[in-house]
Amino acid sequence: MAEELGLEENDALRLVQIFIETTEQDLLLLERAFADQDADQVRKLAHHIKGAASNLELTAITEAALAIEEKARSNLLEDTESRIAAIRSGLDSMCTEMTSWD
Amino acid sequence: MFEVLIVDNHPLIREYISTLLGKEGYTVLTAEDGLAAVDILSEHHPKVIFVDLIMPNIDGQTLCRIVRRMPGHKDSFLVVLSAIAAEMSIPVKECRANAYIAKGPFKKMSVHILDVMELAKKSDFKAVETEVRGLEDIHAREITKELLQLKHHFEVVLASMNEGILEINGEGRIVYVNGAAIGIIGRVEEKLLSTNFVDLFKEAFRHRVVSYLEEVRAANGSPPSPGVEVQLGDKELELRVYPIREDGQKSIVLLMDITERKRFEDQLRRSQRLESIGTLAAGVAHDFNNLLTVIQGNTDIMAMDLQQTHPHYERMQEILRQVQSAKRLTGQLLGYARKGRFVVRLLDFNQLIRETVETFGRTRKEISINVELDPELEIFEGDAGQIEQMILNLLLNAGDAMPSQGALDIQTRNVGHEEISSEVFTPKEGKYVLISVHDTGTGMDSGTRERIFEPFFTTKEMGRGTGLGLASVYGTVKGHGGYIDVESEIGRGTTFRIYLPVKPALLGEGREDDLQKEQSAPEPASRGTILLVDDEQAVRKVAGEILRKLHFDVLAVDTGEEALQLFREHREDIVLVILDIVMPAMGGSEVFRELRGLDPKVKVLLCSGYSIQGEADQLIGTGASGFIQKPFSFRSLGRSINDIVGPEA
Repeated sequence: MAEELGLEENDALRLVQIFIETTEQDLLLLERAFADQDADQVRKLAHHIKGAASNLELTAITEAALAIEEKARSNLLEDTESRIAAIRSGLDSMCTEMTSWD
Repeated sequence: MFEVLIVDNHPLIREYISTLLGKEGYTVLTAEDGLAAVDILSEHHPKVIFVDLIMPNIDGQTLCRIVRRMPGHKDSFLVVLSAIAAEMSIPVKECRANAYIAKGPFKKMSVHILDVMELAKKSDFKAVETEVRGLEDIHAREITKELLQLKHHFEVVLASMNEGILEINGEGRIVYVNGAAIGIIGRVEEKLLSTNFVDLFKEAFRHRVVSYLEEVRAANGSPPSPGVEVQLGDKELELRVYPIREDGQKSIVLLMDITERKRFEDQLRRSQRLESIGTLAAGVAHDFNNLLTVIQGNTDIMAMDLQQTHPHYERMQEILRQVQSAKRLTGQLLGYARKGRFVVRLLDFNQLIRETVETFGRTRKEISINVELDPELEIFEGDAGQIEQMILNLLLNAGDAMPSQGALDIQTRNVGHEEISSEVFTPKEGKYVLISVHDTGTGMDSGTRERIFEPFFTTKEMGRGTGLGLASVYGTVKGHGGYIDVESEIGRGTTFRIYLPVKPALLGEGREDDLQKEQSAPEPASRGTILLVDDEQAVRKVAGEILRKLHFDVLAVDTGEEALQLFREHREDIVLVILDIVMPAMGGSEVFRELRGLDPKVKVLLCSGYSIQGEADQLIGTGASGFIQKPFSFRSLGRSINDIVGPEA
């Protein structure tokens, strides 16, 4: 990954860490917004997560966040929960991978 | 190497570009939004600035605009980063950036970022591109396009509103202003953005704004309390603050320019105050007139019984002279309340002014008087007595402002309503005659200026001023449907301008009132019974005595009901009813109607401590025989009676 980004491994690792931290925060807020059935807030947070994931070309997270965003735009939140789970599992596997780098 | 600033609200982007450029040897600064960038730019001078287009707290487009207007930064190399480049064309013209990069996968972005840095250096930071780099790596999404159009729609709505709208962040700093707000506040956008909202106001109003903001915050999302009124420059504003619920920190501020509204409210308040004082003044005058009737009547009777050589005869005459002075004062009060006698005829205003000025000039030779009268001045309709008194009062007032010496300028001219501009009134359409009286006297402060037309308000020492002069001027002007304006400053003299309509809408119908013509009346002989109706016991007593002296039999009652009862019983004997208009329970008007019902030919002499205007006027129109104003003298009552029932045989 570091090579793809044109960075040294340490720098790439720091980026991934920032991604995980900000996305985890966004994800917590997203879960809360979903619990409140606040579609507008769900859309904004999913948009935020999607942008960062696409920068790092994390396709699975990007697609899940995009799907949440587009549905929430039409006030539809029914599949949000499973997609949040997909994003969370994406984050978890990144964490595991990072641990293996250490 | 030079400094580079990266402004983006996502930490990932900031970190990535910082790392990338840091490795190339650049000194990198970062800011999470436009507001933080403005703060950094006050201390640093980065040669290249990367700006994200969509950010909270001053968006990218606005930040670009600000940078281009900042003296130390306007030649910076601006690079716009956009995540929406595929969905919507970037507002290149508005941004005036040097280069544009679409956001996408970092490995693609990195190429464009480094290329752009090379371009900047090679062109000495002057190159300008309008093509967006990296567009080929991303795909347009309809959904984002729609949202952006919606955002654009709201921007158009905000821009076209008349109300000023500002967004302030948790620290109270301005992060958004619409066009109306810029107009109301009167400062350019780049000076407003990032400024602390409270600092816009002068010290005197800051506290009010701060406590209002605290109140709104404490209300915690519940509907905001009514706005707060403040001054900003020469404008009066109403301010309302609405917290943004989902954010919890930011607020929307609504600014409404209420300068005009306040002006009208002030005008209304002032005229309502003068109206209510007028009503009060008229009431006082009415009661005094009743008292004076009793004093005058009794004194008249006593004087009649005394020989002119009697030691008390001269004292009686002095009492009667003082009653006349008191009568002039109550007359002025009634004039102020627009309840005075009104005798309307065509007036030569210039002639009245010349005469009055001559009289005044004789008493104040040390004042130089300059009179410029328009020979073409319109002839207008008015009450000569009141107008003359009005001019005299203006001159006396000017004279009092110049105790030792000074100059007085008096002018007249014709004006149309469109030439009259005033902050305190809006003239009706039509032609007016203007008299302006300017003195070089002491002048007035605004507090005095506010109150000069109130009766009993005087700046003169106790005993010197009645506080009625300008009040009666005001009453006369209003009574003639005109307007009065005053301009004054301490040490710079005073100018009164009075505009009187050439065709006034006078209160009540003007008539030549011949009830009080000065003519000697023959003493009447006994000619039957007079029914005297007045609720004031003392008035009944003295008037009754006068009537008896005039050889009438008198039936005196204090209520309308009793009057009707007695009239039924003595209809054959009653030659005249003297009827007070203002009485409790059954008023004069009602009694008059009932009397007419009993006998359509009944002769009724109306009397009142008020004046002929209003009720009396109407009653005369429906058949009452005459009117007499209290206080009346023995002679004037006698004359009035003679005029109605005929002289004594």
